[in-house]
Amino acid sequence: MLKISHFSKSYDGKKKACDDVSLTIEAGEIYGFIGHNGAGKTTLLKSIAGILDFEDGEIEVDGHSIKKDPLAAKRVLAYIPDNPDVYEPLTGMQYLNFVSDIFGIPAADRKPRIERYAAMFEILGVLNDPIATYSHGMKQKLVIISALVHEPKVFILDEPFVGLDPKAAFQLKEIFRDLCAKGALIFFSTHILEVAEKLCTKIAIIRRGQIVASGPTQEITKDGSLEEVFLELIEK
Amino acid sequence: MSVYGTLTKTLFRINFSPRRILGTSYSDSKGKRILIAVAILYVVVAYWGGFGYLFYDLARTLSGIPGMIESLLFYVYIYAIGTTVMIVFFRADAMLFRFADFSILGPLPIKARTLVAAKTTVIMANVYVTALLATAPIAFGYFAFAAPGIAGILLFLPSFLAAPLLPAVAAALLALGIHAVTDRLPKSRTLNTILMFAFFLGIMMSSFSFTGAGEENPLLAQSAVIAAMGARFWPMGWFAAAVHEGSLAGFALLFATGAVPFAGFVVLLSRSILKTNARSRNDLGTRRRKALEYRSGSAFKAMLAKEWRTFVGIQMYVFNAGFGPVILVVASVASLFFADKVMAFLTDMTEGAVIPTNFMIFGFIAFAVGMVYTSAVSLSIEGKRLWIVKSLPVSPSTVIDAKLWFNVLLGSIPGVFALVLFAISFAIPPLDAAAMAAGVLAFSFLTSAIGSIVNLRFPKFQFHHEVEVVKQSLGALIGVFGGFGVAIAAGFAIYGLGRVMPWQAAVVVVALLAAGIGYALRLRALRLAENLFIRYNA
Repeated sequence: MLKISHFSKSYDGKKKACDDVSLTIEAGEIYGFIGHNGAGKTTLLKSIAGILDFEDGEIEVDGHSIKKDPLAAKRVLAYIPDNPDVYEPLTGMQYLNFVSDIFGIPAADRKPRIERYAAMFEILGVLNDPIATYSHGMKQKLVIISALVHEPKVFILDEPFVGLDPKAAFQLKEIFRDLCAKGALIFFSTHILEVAEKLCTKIAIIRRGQIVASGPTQEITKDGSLEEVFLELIEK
Repeated sequence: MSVYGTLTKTLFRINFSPRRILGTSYSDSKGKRILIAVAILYVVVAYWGGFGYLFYDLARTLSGIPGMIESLLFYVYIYAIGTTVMIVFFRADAMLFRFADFSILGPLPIKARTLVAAKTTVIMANVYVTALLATAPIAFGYFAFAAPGIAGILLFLPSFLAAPLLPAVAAALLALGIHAVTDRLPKSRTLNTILMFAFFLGIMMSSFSFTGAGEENPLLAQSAVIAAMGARFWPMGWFAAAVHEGSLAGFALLFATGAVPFAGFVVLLSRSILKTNARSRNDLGTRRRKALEYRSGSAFKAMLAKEWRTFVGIQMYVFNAGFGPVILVVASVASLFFADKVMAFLTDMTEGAVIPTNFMIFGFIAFAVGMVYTSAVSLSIEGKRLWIVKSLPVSPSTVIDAKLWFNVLLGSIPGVFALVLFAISFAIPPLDAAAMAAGVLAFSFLTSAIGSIVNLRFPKFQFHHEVEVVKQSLGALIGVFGGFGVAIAAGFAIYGLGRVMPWQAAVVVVALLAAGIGYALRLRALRLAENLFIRYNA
């Protein structure tokens, strides 16, 4: 479970990028996070991943506070940023072994997982090449595989579909469903409202750092489309 | 404003802002301002003080010999073009032929020659500032004792600006040629690095080869050679004639032989340069057909391995922070076969001072180990990738500890290896060598710990190319000069203690002290990491 309670974050000590955000995401849920540019999505996702410090509130990942016990929280969490900046001098395989070693995944366990996902995303043949030679999409796929290799319970993604080809985007959605069926939870931001509407069991809409709507997708959209609801909410 | 003007202004703003150069702003905190001022003052005093005195002394001597004072202008010319060649040769790839912001500038409707002209202007600004800093003590010595006319004084600056143009073109073409050849070969990056090292060591050896060992002023022995070079290499002569005699013809020739090739380079090669940039970076990769390896290890080992791969994967990182280990291995292996020549080389490095063999070797190793400063920059090199270690279940102290120990290994393994070979070559008794080995290990540990603290306090995460961190960050500056400072302090401590106890015991005492301070600083660095890591933007 991911529990965000009264979370607030300010970069300059004056204006709040996120203001009193509270959300609870249960195991098995695919939770979409929607908002305009600069609304505070990435700030919240980075804070959940333990990358950003924050002033107020609490974030619990599978019962572990990201502030008080960050290592325990990070062991069950995977984070994928909006821009896949990775160690370019390393090969894809070296990067995956690096992440696996940090999570303490034995070689026998990581092998089938890496092979499965790398084959699925069609980068198995280039894993021994330096990451510097990868395209943006290939780097994105590598980061996704590195996030999946330790079978996370909490999967945090920032704009995961940007840069992926249609086939890879479809497969990522299948992976989401598969992970959720196994008891993991997915929390991701997106600007693609159609994806959010079809894929997510729940949705939260953030505007100027505050959650303006959250709940089951069908309750949010009611009889209209998510696009209509979103535009109506952010223009208020 | 013209497109060139706008572009150049923007590139200057990007490349030369204090935050960009130092990774921090003067206004960030009072503590940082003080530290930056101390670091700059230290460099100015250490370089301009030591170097300036030697040239002032040389100028005084030469002023007493008729017709020799103008040879100081040859020094100005040689140091200026030496600086030019080193900067352009090593940076042309990152700043001109494969610049990082090509994806931004390439698609803009800017003429190829305008873009290349703006980029070369930035490189030349780098060249002029560095060359001015390097030659200022020499020029001061010249103007203090020579009496050039008004015309000569007025012509000094334009001549100084014209002198580096031709060498800059030559160095850029050489760098491009080496890349053009090595990029097509397997293991191109390694080959390229080896060629760069060979080039640099060649320059270094040739510059030492005409330094006068045993002279009161080691520069004095160079002056005859440099005067002879001035007579044969015409641009040097034109430069000296323009300034010393106020010769307009000399200046015109210098300007024409510099500006024409330089303009030709920009105008004729601008399209080719942009094509080099446009070539897919996928071509640069070396495709490995080996089977995938699934080896597991500890998190700490994984961090160390990642540090090593990042280090060897960035050419300028290897070239700068790895120069010490390379020179240690080269010199110590060479000592097995050419002990006399290596000793002469070490004597040249100490500017001809008469120092016992053991101390000279110890000092040389300390100097080389002090040049290993990965712990002072490796956190900064994470750059936009800092999110990786921040989001993984690894503590900040483990990350910093791995970077610290990587630096210790990188410095101490070649250091002890070199010491063993030197001990064989120069018949150093085993106990003496053991004491020196303890000193090398402790020194490496202490400088690594200092580097870690420096990098935690002065990180530079915003950069376009790693060279900006490796060469142009406050971490790099304090890392390298801090290492030299510790070496000098340790030298004085050993000398002082050596007066009341055997020198071997003095080395061990200083080593224990250094190890103790290093340990305390390491603990401080680990605590700092836990406090600061989460505050870094990533």
